[in-house]
Amino acid sequence: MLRVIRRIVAWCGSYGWRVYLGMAISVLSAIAIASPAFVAALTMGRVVEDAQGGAPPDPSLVWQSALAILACVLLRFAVSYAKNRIQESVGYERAPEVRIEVGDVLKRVPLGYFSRVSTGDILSTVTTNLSTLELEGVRQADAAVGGYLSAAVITAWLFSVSPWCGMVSVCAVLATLPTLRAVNRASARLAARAHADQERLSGSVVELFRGLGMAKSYGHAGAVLRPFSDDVDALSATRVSIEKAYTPINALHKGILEVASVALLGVAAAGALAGEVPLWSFVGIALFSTTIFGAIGRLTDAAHMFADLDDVLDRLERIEKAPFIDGDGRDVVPERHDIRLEHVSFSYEGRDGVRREVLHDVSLDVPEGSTCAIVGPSGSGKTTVSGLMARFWDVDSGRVCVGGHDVREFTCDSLLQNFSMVFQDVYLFDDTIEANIAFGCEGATHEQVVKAARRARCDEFVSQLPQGYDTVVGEGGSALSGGERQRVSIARALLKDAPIVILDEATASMDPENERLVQLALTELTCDKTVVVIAHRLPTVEQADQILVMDQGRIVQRGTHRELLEREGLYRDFVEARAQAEGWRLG
Amino acid sequence: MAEASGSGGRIGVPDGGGGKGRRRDTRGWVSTLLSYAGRCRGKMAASVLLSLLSVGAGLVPYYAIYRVLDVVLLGGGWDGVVPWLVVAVVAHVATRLLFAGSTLLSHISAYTILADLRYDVARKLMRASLGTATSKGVGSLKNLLVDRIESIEVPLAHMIPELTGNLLLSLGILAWLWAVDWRMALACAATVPVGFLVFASGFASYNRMYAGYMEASDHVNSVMVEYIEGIRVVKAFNQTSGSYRRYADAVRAFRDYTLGWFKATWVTQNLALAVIPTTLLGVVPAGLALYLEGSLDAAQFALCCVLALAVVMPVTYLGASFNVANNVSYAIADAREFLDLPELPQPSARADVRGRGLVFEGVCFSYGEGRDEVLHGVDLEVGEGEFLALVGPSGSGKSTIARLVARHWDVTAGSVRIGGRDVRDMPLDQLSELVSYVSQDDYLLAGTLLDNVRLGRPGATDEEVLAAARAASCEEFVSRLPQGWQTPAGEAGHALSGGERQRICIARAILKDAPIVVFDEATAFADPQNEARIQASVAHLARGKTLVVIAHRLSTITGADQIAVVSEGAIVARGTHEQLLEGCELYRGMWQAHVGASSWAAGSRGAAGASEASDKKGDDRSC
Repeated sequence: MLRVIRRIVAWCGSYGWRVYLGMAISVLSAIAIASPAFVAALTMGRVVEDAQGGAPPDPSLVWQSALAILACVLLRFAVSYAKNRIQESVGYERAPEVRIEVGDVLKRVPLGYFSRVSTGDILSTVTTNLSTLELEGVRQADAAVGGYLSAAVITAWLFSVSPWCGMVSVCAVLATLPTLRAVNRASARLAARAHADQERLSGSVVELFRGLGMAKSYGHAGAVLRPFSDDVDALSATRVSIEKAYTPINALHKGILEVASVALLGVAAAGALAGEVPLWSFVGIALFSTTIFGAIGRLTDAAHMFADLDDVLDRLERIEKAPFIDGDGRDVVPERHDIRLEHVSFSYEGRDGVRREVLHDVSLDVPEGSTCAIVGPSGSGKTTVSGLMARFWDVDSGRVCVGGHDVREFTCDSLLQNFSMVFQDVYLFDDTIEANIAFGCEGATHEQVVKAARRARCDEFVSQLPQGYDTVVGEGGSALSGGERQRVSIARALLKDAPIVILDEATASMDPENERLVQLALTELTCDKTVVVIAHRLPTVEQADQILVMDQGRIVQRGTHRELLEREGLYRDFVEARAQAEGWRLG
Repeated sequence: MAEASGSGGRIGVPDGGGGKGRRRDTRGWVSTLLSYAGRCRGKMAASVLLSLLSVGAGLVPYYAIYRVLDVVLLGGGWDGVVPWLVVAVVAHVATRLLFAGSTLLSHISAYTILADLRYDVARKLMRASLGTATSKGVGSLKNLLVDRIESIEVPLAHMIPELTGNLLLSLGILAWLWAVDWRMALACAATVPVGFLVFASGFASYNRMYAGYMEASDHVNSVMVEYIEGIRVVKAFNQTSGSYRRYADAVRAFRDYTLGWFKATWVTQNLALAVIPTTLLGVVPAGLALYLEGSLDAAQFALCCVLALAVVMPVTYLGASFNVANNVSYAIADAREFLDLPELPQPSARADVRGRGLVFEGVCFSYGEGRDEVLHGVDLEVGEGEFLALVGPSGSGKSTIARLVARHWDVTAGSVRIGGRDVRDMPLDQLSELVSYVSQDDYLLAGTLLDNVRLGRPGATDEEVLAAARAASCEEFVSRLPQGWQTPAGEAGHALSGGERQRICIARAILKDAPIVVFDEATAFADPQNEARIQASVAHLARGKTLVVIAHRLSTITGADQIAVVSEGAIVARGTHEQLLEGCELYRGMWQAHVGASSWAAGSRGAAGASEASDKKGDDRSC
């Protein structure tokens, strides 16, 4: 437990001292909470003296005791308020910093990281898991340390009353150490299982959703529902077994403390009867005995949570320690903008940890201002080549140069400054059209945005929207059609005005009308630039200065459209197959 | 987990992300919850009973303490103390056992309720129309089914037995005090109204602040989802070294909101939480005064102090359940958004269908009440075995028309008829026997590839399944996989291209052999070889069938018996390819754009064909 507490405090970074200070204040808080019982005990003491034939208590004791307890209330308020200010907000201040740090980290890790670690995993770490840490981390660390600190104060007082009472308290605290460890261990074991079950359920919800159409058109609700209900049942079963493991240990833990509180009462009574314990102290112990171990009793929560928090901290650490791709890069401003790949081999690491080489000894040269088209069957490595140019991944061997500099010399920022990229799967943020176009160009004026939008043929549809450029495009850009989204993404690239343009299947999913507009926009974008275009549709690449034909991770043919048509080979097969496909008919 | 909620939790953990900030209707959540609780009535009742017994047993130690005090203070001996110590220990042990039994039962009931909620949402999705069921998106469904529903377990398991138990315990203790002296009961309860007054001063805005908090939390989560899903764009465009502003802004806004809210409540909350549990504030002075007056003896005074301390724990618990209830009400409201989805009504008797022709008559459609109408009076007629193609600009409504055949939604006016019968007059099973709907986002289910094809007709023999697969030219790529047809679809999903996955789905439809085929052509080109095979397999699927194709590439459908041109939710022209080229401006424009688009190339040098096509654009819609 100590280890997890230390980790939590370390996670708090520069706020760590506030956590420690808050823990120290817990001692005051324990005193403030206990003191009304002692005022009561002192008052009772006077009453008992009277009952045993001593002097009757002074009537002024009525308001004196009231004032004393009121003072305790105010102390309690002051202490807990101070603790809130100093300690409780730490999690809420630290978590946002971590969210932003993680955002920066994710921007600088190779894209390969996202195929190795599932996006779902990263997401649940920065949302659900981080909130758990935000809400519970400091609180539980404080509950544990504060609990033991107040137990120490109480035990010290008990020792001063009678060594026997002190001994009972020490024994009680020691006796619960194994139960806490048992809770922690059971939780650690089962929390991992529950987490896995939950992940599986997430997966099957996605399957369920995607399978709905299937289930309806084939009338097989059962086939789609079954995996889902199996996972629901598995999660329930795991959760119930967690409760079954936890409940008896928790009962034992609290039971031990309750028996100890009775023992304390007995020891104090014996002491009082023997005259060794002052009567008011005995009354105090008797009154206080039911709550005396309360803080220790609640530690089963903390012990359980620690297993979870430990896991959360592990997950966060894994993300934060993800290797930066540009760890020793510097800001390079290349003088020209040609691209060279020299004997590049590259392999992906799958989620199973096995590396598969997908590019074998690829060399190419795109002179500044020229257009290079890459064609080939799906899975031949076209997109990987373009990704390597922008250093979304690092090569295994060989090198990639932009403007004569190895891309590994650059920082990510200084490299990507030279690139505009338009992808097939356009991603827009759920923000205004203007913000989406200005993305990455934060200083852009409205005029610049409109100018880029006009060149990208966005103007026409934007002006038809009631809120124009302030229209929010919805999650993933859902308020716009595919072609409109693509044009917004081209406007984004135009505004950036980088010297190198990469088009990855930019017109693949368009209807003819949109395709034409998108092509006009692309014409604007690619004017006088170094262009790398990846396409399935051969007509879009016929005019390129050079065409590279890829197959199974190798460049198998290169030349211009005319040269390639004259030769036998994949390219000519493609052109013929495409001509057939474009001319196919039904019926 | 157990007891984690009651320990002074300030706010419920808003688990999970996703979902846009929206106003939730939290009314009636209690009755929704109770209707679910009713399904495990036995366990719940047992749990409450055990909880009550444990409360009763829990009072015994306080009585024992009182007796011990009585004996010691009034000069008794050790012999008088021991029996009460034994009683206290036994009572503690009994309380623990009863309480453990109660919580275990309530957890089991709570998890049953959670599972029921999840099943019901899933079943609802099966019964609602496809359009309705998928309207909310997979993100919010996942958020609900996995995180939100899970988050109500702790409050659910603890609220029913413990809320009952603690409420009765507090009342029991007060009654006991009342029995000693009614004034002492009042003195003990005095801090509660005082504390709640303090609370109330800060509580007025609580619901509003909580709603705001949930919204800010939803927002920050959805922005994070976006950031990660769009990471490629973030990497490619975000040049500044600082973080993406929208992300950072959302994170900071959430922090400021949370801290602002907390800071605003710290004073009142801490003051209330200092006052309410200090029951001795009234009890000690009042007890002393009554003692001095002679209406209370020393032992009774001690008893009152003991009881005043005993009431603290349950009262604190009651306060904490306030916050928890709020979180539950939100989760239930989220679940109800799904549970209350309208179901697709269907008759139980099969309809007598004559022929396989398809008729649309005056079909109007909107995606829901109050939404804009997207189809306006569509009339279409496709004879048995005929081939109809729907063409039109994107967003014109052609896919919607096709999906109405498969009853993904119901029309708002007019009717869709198959063989003379309205699709709403036949059971969904019968409709699914009649219609195969094949689209680009068809999906492989868990199970092997063979299982996936067999879903088309579960009774089919292996030979029939393989024959269908051959017809869809799946064999060539399946034989490439090490496990062949036994490859689990999940693993195969990574190994197969989109075109190959689609061929599996076409094989499924071929096996099903429904007389009407609705085919939503993929908008994206697969690579040419794949494309050619898909086309061959669709041709096989369509042989001898009534065929409706939503065409994105006009060259595909020039041979259709009938082409319907859809624009802005209405059919603007019908005819064969030649007739339309002749008589429909819009179709001619689309055809030229299609031909023109094919001759474009990257770089400014290739723009000639495209700009030529754009000249025609002005009068595109005048058809």
